[in-house]
Amino acid sequence: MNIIVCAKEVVDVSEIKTDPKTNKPILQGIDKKISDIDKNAVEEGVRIKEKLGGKVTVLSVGPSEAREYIKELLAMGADEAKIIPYADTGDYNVVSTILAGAINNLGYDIILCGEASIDLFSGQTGPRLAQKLGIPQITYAKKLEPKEDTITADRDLGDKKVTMESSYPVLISVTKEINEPRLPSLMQILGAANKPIEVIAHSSLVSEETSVLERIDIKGVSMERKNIIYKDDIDDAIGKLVENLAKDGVLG
Amino acid sequence: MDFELTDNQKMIRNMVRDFAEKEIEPVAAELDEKEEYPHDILKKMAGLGLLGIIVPSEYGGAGLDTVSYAIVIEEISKRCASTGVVTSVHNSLVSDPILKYGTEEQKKKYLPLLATGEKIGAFSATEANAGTDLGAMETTAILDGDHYVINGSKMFITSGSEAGIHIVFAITDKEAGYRGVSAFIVESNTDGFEVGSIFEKMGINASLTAELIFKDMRVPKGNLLGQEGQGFKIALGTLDGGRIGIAAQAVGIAQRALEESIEYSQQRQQFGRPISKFQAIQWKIADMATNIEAARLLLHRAAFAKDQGGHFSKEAAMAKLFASETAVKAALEGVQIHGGYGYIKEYVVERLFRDAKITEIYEGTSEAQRMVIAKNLLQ
Amino acid sequence: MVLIYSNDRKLALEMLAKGRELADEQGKQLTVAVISNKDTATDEYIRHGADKVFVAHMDMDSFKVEEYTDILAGIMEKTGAETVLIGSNRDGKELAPRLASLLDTGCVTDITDVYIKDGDLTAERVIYSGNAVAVERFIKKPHIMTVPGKLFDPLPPDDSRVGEVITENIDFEPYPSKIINIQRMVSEGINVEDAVSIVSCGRGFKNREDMTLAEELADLLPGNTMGCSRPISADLKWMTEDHWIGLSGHKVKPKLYFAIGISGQIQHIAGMRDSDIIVAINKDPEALIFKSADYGIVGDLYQVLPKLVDAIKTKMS
Repeated sequence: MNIIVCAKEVVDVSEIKTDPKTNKPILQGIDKKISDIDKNAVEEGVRIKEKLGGKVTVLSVGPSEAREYIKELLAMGADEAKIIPYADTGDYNVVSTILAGAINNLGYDIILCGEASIDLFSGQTGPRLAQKLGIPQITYAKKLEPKEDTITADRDLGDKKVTMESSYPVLISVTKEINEPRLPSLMQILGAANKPIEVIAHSSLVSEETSVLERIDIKGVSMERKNIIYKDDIDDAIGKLVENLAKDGVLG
Repeated sequence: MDFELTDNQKMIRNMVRDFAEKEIEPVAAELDEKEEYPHDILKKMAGLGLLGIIVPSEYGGAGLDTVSYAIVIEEISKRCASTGVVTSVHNSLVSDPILKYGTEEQKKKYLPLLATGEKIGAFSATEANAGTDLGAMETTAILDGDHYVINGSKMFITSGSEAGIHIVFAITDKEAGYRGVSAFIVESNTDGFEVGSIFEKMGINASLTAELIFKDMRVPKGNLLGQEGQGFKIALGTLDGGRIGIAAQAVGIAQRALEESIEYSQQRQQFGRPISKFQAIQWKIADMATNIEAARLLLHRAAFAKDQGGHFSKEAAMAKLFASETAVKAALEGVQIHGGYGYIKEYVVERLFRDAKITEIYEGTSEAQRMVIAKNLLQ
Repeated sequence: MVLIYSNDRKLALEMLAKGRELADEQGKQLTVAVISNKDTATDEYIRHGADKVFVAHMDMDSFKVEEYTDILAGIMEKTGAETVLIGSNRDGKELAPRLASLLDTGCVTDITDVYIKDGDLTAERVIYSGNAVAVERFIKKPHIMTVPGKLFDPLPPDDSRVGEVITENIDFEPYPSKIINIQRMVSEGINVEDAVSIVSCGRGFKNREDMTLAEELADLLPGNTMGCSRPISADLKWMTEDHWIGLSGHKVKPKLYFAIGISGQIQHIAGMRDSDIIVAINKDPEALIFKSADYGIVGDLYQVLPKLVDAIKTKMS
């Protein structure tokens, strides 16, 4: 089974602080990591390999420094990685075109990705990539049952649960609930050092005209809330809160 | 010269940090309160190779460098100093001397058991009347056919009641003073091996500290570690390595105190602003951070020196001395910054404060470290 | 031409309001796309602002993204759609990017606003876990967006409006994947979206039974119902998905919203950000929820809730 997992480096959103003057997020100096749900995708890929045999290739479009984090995915059990250095501008058409180009050169049975990345949470890469490759997509998978010729997936869609089946090749996006990504052991970390990481230039895979969207600004979130936070004495806080809620006329 | 960690070391740090946050943090306070040994944590650590960090792969370990080892102990200790010391003793004081002084047969038999966590290790040297002065020990080992018969007792043995494999020190030649001390690998299921009291301590309460009693305990001759009379040398050489583990534990405690203090000082409001805006707090934080940075550099320097082969006891003693004093200071200031809340068990600095002190005492007191350092400079 | 599509009728009606505005501003027509294998009531769309309803007849029983993408692309071609608003339920969110990819064009999911700026259609969406808003300019037509529920209010129905209904069959290629089973989640008849007051529980509750503390609070409030964050419903199953508030759950805008023991991930905020008054109770002073709250108490919910219940009782008696 030829398994490809798309994973990307993101800023650790839980560490983002906002500039008190401009209200804009401060992204410099924030720790980076592999987007959490992408790790679920890698874990699922490794589990499929453990069951059916084959190879897991991690594919990452993003900064070349991502190498440090991509190695963690190799330690988790992926066999090799390809990094395509590209300054992501949030144009998913460009990113999915690059990915599709690289994947077409690799050959594939299953493509796995996270339902969305934790930084931007757009959820576009999977569906766009599936379309570019002309293959079916199964999104929001929370359980997979891979067999030799077909794969079934349980999808949780809020008001309905849908079970789907597809032949290969197929693209599957997974949710955080699908598994608990393994922590690599020391031996696996050491073993990852010998696994190949190839860097591929994006210029061979995409042309300028592919751009369809331009991010013109990242604004701070305007604080329209009263934001009165009581931190110290609980009894005092409750007294004030109840007074305020009564004043606001929401206690009925 | 390069102060960056290698990619592998960074990955190891990230992995252990994740592990400690997910698996140790949620139970650490409870283990401390109930004085419960971290059996489950150790089992999970074994699965990740953390109980065989420095053991070569042919004996079932990860065969890592000592800087990586220091990183692991620091990250574990940040969340639970008790688990930190148990891991340090297991790796530094038990696996390491077997690796260094053991016969091929001993290595093949014991290192895989330790590296896979099937057995936890303990270092049984200290006695009621023999702490820093190991030569004063009273436990004896007398050769009787194929066995040594060991009689005596040991005090303050970390993991003493839980460990399956002990490095036991005993006198084989009463006339020879410290040259009459020998080291033995002893399995805890040996007849005559008894656990006495479990000590109630100020801190590191999840690392059970026991008294051991040996009554006509017959240990096979083949379990002598090194030569007869080599025990003192083995003990000192082993403790040099152990000090790197304790220095790492101390850096972990100090780092946690700093992180907790930064977080708390930015939240706690007094006089209408966070207390981090007050210079009195800022200076404390700046001093803590500077000392921790220095301690970590000394620690990594000592670990690096150990891997280069050669003599590193001065470096290890300096790292242990400075890191342990840094831990005590950082924990003290951490409590101070937390004010009244720092004295309450709900806040982790209270535990750090109790845990920090022992780092200035065990595996050589600060006074003993200064002796080692001075001896290296003045001899 | 502005095109609206959602398999959720309510969402389609909401999007019609914004679609009408965008269409009028550009002097364009507003069309609703309906993909169905049975007859559907089309006049409701016209009463709520549509100029046309395009019904694509097809013989599939349920939504399947690959085929629906082809059909919607066909409708776009036939209607000349330049701007497409797609309802941001899960079906819509996997449909829109696939459609955009097919047409090699831009797509913005879960918009919080859309407007014309310097002649270009521009959309905003929340990123970085609620810490920022990205402003995205489409540099190519057609423009595709997904619109979350409750973002826009439907226009009041206007019985005097007339419109055109077009019915056609659109060809599509079947894909080698199939739906094996669909299980509709049973609704308890709870409707969080209509509640006046909502008390929502998160991971701060240690046990299922402890949520009675929150119920006692809810019982004091007008038109109340209980809500919850994703883990409580999706992972722990302590409440049914009828109570799940968030990006993938329900979007609510009550007069009063209590978030108790909820950390405030973007996905949850997206479901409750339009509430009139938001109160957060969390013992972690750093919890993101406080950034989105009108009032917050930093404290242990187990201490705060009983006292809060007493205080409200006293106040109202």
